[in-house]
Amino acid sequence: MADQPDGTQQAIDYSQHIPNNVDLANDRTLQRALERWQPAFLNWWDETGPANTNNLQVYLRTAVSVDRDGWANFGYVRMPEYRWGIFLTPRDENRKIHFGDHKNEQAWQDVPGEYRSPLRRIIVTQGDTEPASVEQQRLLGATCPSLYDLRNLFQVNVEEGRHLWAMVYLLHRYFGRDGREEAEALLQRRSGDANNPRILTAFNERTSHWLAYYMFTFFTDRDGKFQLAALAESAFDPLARTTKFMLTEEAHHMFVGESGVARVLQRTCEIMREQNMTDPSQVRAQGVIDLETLQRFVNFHCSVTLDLFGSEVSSNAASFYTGGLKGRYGETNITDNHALSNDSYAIQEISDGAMVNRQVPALTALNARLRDDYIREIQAGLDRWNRIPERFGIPFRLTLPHVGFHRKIGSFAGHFISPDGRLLSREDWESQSAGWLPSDRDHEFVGSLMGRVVEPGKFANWIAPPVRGINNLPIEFEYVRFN
Amino acid sequence: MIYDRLQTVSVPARKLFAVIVHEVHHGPLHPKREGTATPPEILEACGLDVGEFYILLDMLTQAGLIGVSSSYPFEEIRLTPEAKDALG
Repeated sequence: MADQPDGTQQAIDYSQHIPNNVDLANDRTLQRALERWQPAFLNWWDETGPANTNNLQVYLRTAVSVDRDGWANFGYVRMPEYRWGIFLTPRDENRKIHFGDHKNEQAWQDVPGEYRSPLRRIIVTQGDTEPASVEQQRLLGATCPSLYDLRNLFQVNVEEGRHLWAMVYLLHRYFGRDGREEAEALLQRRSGDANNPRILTAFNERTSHWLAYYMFTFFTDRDGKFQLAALAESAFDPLARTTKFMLTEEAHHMFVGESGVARVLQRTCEIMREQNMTDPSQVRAQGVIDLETLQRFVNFHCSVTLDLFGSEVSSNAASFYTGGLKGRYGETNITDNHALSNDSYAIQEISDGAMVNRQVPALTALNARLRDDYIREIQAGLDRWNRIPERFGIPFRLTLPHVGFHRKIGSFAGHFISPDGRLLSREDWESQSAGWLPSDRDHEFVGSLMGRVVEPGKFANWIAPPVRGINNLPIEFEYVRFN
Repeated sequence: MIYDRLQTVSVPARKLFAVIVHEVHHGPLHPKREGTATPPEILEACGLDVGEFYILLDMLTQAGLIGVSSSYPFEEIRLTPEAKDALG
């Protein structure tokens, strides 16, 4: 029974072939189209999802309601049997568009013809990142540091799969034949494939070890959060309602990243203090990741993620905003006229061989603004990480690189900028950059630590357990059962 | 008294408190010290942003509704004796 006029429910109907809270049973054409897509999705999962895991029983959280105060249910699940489905936050009948040229109009329940193409592009680009990250992480299970971490990896993987479902629902429901073809293509592209790669560059890099995975979930998944938050403001109401629920799941992914890096830091600091050592090679000899290497990974993952925000000055971003397709981060809570027609925004760029600030129309600087909001949030995360060496009396602090460091997209692309923001010559960059970015040897070293630990309660040496159990014992729950 | 303390914090903090009360008894992380909840299980149960979570946690601590032991990111969160008594 629907709670809402459009059929959306708080509780999710798990009796259906495709779990949903959008009353799919009453739209047989759409239901049949999605049921035809479902086997292709399962084939994709089998082919590119977590390798050799079909028989594992994983202690997973499944959404049982879209109500934020009580949506999670835990139990053992074989991943191919996970109930991927379609969950939208219930519709607010009175929701109005609150920014851009259509401000104060009723939010759209269908796609206006003039915005069909850009909206489809936005949804496809967002949707493409979801399966891409699953593909990138396909082999990580073979080197997990503990059952707890393995379970968290799989939780993230199944939810990225569900986020793909969320975007595919929108494509099927609102974009007709074009949408169905795009949904097929989402299952055909492959991360890192030379002929048919994923759309965004960062999603074609392999996540080759767990440090890269934690950094990815902290930095790159957070870009996803900011993009989703901007789409949650959209005038196209089904997109806004879909992304709002995705954000709830995304929060845990970022916690996996934040606490993962924090536990690596904790373990390294414990060893440094116990052994009274600071030299990176000595620290490495103890089988933990030295702080300097962690900094290089921060530099890398931060800079490639900043590229995902696109060019600082963008006419596309401006037209998405004026059209009401994509808002600013926290648009609803911003107290201005939500039009930006006469406002300006300061961006940094290189001019005549120097770094300068330039005021540009705020409408064209929306990518830069979203990126700056993102930087404030990751800085807060680094501040929390830095409490760990501080607690151990170790003077080292992780820092974010300058926004222009190692950039391939936007106004800094083609320039050579150090992590502390100095403009360099190509020669200076080439002689120094190895100290700022992870080298092949760094990857080899980190990779060499990655042995598989699947005994309940045991953890790899390079990472601290997530919480201290009774009497400081490690946690022993069998989060994944191998049958 | 617990009611008075809850009145001093924001609605999101009250909602987080409700989640903590649930996770103290039913959180999925095993084993753990009796009567505690941990960030992984709370964050999975409520979907709060990590940054927002820590801000609200501070509010609840200041209001005397919860106590936090151990350091980031290994916090153990328990109800204060007053909150525990009031909730039975």
